[in-house]
Amino acid sequence: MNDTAYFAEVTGALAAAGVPAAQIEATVEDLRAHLAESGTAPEEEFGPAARFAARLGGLAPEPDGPDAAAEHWTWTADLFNDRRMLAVHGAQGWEVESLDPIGRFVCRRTPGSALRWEYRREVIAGRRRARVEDELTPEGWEPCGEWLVYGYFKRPAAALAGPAGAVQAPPAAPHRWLFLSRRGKAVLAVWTLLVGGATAAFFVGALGTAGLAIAIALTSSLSAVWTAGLENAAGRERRGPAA
Amino acid sequence: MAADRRSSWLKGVLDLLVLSRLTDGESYGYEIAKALAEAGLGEIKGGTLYPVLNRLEEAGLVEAEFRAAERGPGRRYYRLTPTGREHLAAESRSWREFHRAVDTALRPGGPTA
Repeated sequence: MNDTAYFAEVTGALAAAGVPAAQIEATVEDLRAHLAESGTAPEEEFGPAARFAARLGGLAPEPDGPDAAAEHWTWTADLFNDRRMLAVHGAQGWEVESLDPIGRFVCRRTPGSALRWEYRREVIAGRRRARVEDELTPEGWEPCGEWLVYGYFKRPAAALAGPAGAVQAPPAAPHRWLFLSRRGKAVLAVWTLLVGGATAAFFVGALGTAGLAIAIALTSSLSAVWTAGLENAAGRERRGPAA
Repeated sequence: MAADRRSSWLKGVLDLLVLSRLTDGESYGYEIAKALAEAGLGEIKGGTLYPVLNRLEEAGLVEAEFRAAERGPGRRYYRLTPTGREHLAAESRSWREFHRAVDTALRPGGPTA
């Protein structure tokens, strides 16, 4: 990316965040002056344009910084539904900050300067992680959470859309927090049935504490594998037959 | 590992280091980065420095003024505010206390030595 394209992207993202035009102009000139002295390329000096603009223009306040004005919302979805729901909520200005230990998306949104966010999910198990991150980082994607073998990445839509990446009238924070697909409900029903059976067996004395723990762990692991298998099959179906 | 740790340490005090470069008068982004590198703190990229400068400005600890240049692009010059000067003095004291405690704990035999 050349200097012009880089600063055009920074300008677009800052404008989308409501930074006044005169301030953007001065900022860009100041950054150009920095490059003139350092002799470095913009991406090398400042990092990906979208991420730099987000840190620069108050689009994404520092995790440790004051955050009183931001709305917070935590929700989850099953593996069949997560990408669709991330797209829906990202379009409403929700930025995923992390995944908590039980797999919920921890989100924030700043009223008045909310941006649309794009998300993607990639398998990052083993050696794939470095390759995936190397491919996605130059395009402005940054990791925002991990679950099992999956890594989630986010990118402000302003990275590509400029000012159009801002959310004009975001709807109120949803009360709902669980978004299960039909297949997700089926997997959950089977899991509940098996764990319920094991718990009943524990109470009638047919299963010890260790047996119950093993049964729950085994059922959960099998459910995860089954879910991943179904999702992979669905992914292959979506992509169609290989050429 | 050592580089990661050094980077974490730096992250914790970078705002103070930036403020410290302004105690003798105003300066601008590249000059601040250069001064920190010359002080042995390694290369501070613009991608790290400018968000810090913006936060310091938002917090009222520094003031910025953009000045057009006769040749080439203009620059934003930063100077300490009275609040920034007080903040730097107070936080520097805290850092020195923390540093002393760590230093004592890390000496052979620990804090009781």
